[in-house]
Amino acid sequence: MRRRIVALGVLAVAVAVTASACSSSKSSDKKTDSGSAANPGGGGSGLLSTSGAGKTIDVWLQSDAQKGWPAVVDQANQRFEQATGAKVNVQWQQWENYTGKLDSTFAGSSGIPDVVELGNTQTASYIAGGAFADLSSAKNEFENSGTWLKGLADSGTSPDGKLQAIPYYAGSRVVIYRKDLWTKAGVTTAPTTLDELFSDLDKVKAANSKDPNFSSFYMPGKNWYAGMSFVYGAGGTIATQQGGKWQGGLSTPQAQQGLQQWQRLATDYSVGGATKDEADQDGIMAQGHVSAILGNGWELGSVIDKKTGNPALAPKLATFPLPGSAAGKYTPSFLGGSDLAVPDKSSDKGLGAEWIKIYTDTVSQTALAKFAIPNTTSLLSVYEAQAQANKSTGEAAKDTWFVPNTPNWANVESNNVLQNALESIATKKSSVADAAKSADEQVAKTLNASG
Amino acid sequence: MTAIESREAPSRRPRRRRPLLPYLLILPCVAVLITVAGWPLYKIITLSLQKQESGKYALFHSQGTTPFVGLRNFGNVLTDSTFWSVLERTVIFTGVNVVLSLLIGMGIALLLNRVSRWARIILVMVLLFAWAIPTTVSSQVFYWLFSNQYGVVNHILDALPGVHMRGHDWFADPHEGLAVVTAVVVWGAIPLLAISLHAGITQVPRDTLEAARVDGAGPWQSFRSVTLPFLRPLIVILTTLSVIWDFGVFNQIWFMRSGHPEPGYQTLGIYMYSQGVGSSHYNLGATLGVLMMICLLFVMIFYIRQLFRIGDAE
Repeated sequence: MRRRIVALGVLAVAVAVTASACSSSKSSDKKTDSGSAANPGGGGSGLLSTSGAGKTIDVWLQSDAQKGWPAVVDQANQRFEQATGAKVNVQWQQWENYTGKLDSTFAGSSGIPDVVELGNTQTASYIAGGAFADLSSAKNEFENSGTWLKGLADSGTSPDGKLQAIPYYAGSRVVIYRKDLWTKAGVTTAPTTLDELFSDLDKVKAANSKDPNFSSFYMPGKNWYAGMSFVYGAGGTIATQQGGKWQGGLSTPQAQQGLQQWQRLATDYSVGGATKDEADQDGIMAQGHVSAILGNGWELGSVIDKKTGNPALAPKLATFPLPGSAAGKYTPSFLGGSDLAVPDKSSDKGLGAEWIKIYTDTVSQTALAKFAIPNTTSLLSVYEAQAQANKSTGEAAKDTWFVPNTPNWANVESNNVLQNALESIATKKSSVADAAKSADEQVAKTLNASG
Repeated sequence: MTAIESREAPSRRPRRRRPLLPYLLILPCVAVLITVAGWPLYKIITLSLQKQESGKYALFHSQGTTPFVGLRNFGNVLTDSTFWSVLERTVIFTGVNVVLSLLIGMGIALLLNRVSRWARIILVMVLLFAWAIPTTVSSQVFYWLFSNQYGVVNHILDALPGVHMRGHDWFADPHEGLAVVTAVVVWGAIPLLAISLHAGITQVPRDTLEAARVDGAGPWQSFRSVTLPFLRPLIVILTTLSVIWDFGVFNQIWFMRSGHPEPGYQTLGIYMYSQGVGSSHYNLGATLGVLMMICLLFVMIFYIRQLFRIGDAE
């Protein structure tokens, strides 16, 4: 369960990446822009509230923000406290078993937060469940609502067009690597094909053969975002729907070829991560025995963080999009995304919405654009100009994949079907063909289940 | 006893009110038990007999249809081969853990009985510290000890001649992984067992032991024929308690697998959580919970019978 974005959002980003060079293309959005400008500070719909003296709102944010951009959260809290007089209590959440926590919270009547963050494959089932407040009439009060990334905006909108979750941020995965180690091994240009990547990794591996803990490419065995990227890169899919029935797709020759490429990365070049997931890979890279990881753009900041990482690595890190089978083609990235919503049972819905408004406005999103793809196409140029890494993620965002779009998908994730299959491949407990076959059966069974 | 009471009672309060008092005294206790045990029990049994037919909407709005379906949930679970393999794994895991913790606990209890007073105080203190550590912390510490790259266990084992453990991943094979889990579970169980058994051993009459020695019994024989029979009621209680605890082990496995236990790590507690809460199949989860309780009820029979026996003896 992590940040994700509807395939359409990919298009939006791709278009924006191309369009960001000519800002005149924004003319079509002018109407909404001026609409939101004419409506500063709420008062339009009456949904948002700024009277919060003596109150405290609870905000559930994923720890990505805690690790990646705590300052952005702080400035939003400060401005919110000034504007409303209310206090903000941010409660950091973990993606693991998050839906279970949301279910039990929303089913109850106490301890309900006023703002929640959701990954955008999670939003659909909660919108269907009527868990969130309808913010449609206040849409214009949220800045940049006319230029929101389409994928994120779609994931926050109900099938009948009601706005129930506000786009927060998106991210795509790139290779974060140690330029110094690669240069020392004789690799001076970033690889443009997978074959080049593997031969470069061979060189880096050979140059560091004395270190038994060295991973030329650290690939945790449970990193299904990476594993499935190779599946899609080789032309496969996780599952396809035929005549109303889902069928697992990992056993197809294309998907198996992708899994074999991933296996090569996870077994030949990665040390020590076969039974782990990607949650702690930034810290591991910071230890110095890893020359490359596949991570979200903002994870670079986490590798060099003073508290969680090693600042000395800052000048040595660089990024490139994960190459594909041929030059100019990338291995598709899983473009993640998050939304923010106000639970319908919240006692301070107006304040919750006001906090979201401040946390997703231009000031906040401009600050956030240093770390993640902001929620609006109008700030993508800011994002791309921030750092070399953002160019790569922007590139990587041009070619992405998305999970099968069905309500039961969440159960495939919570049952760790793909993670377990990949782990058995990484530990060589089972062959690629066997692991693919058993995963296909479980995926089909879960997706076709009723209720 | 009755004679004493009847003599004292009139001085305290009128005789006719006496039968009410015990009930009044036990009332708070019963009220607490009904709230924290009775109500959840009632809920979980109802849940296990229902089927939630509508999705999250009904759940979040306390409405929707959850008709009673009789024992259909039980039928579904009991005909699922995964359940039986999980049950088998849980039973074996419990057996190994209970036997190991009792054997080691008994060993330390005997040691406590033999060492000097100071050594005993230090040992008991260390045991209490170990006992005070939450399972979340100890699981994490053991996970690091057994970490494949930088774990001290691999480091030490690798230093032995002829052993190559560098980079060995203890969690790749669920059997080895569960062995590590066993280590942390047993480690956490020993303090209570050792201290209780030690307390039991001190109650063994010295003259009986001496008589056995005079009659020519060796240490092993007097342990088997004198100490063990005296400890039997205590051992029965500790065994049943250990079975109940180890049967429901959750935290240790959950944290060592970072919240994603692989199929080979699924014991009943984990299976129940991932089916019930993880996949939002709350009826199924409740069914598994009820089945787990039924399994443990059989163990409880021993426990309660032993409690009654002790009561009778006194």
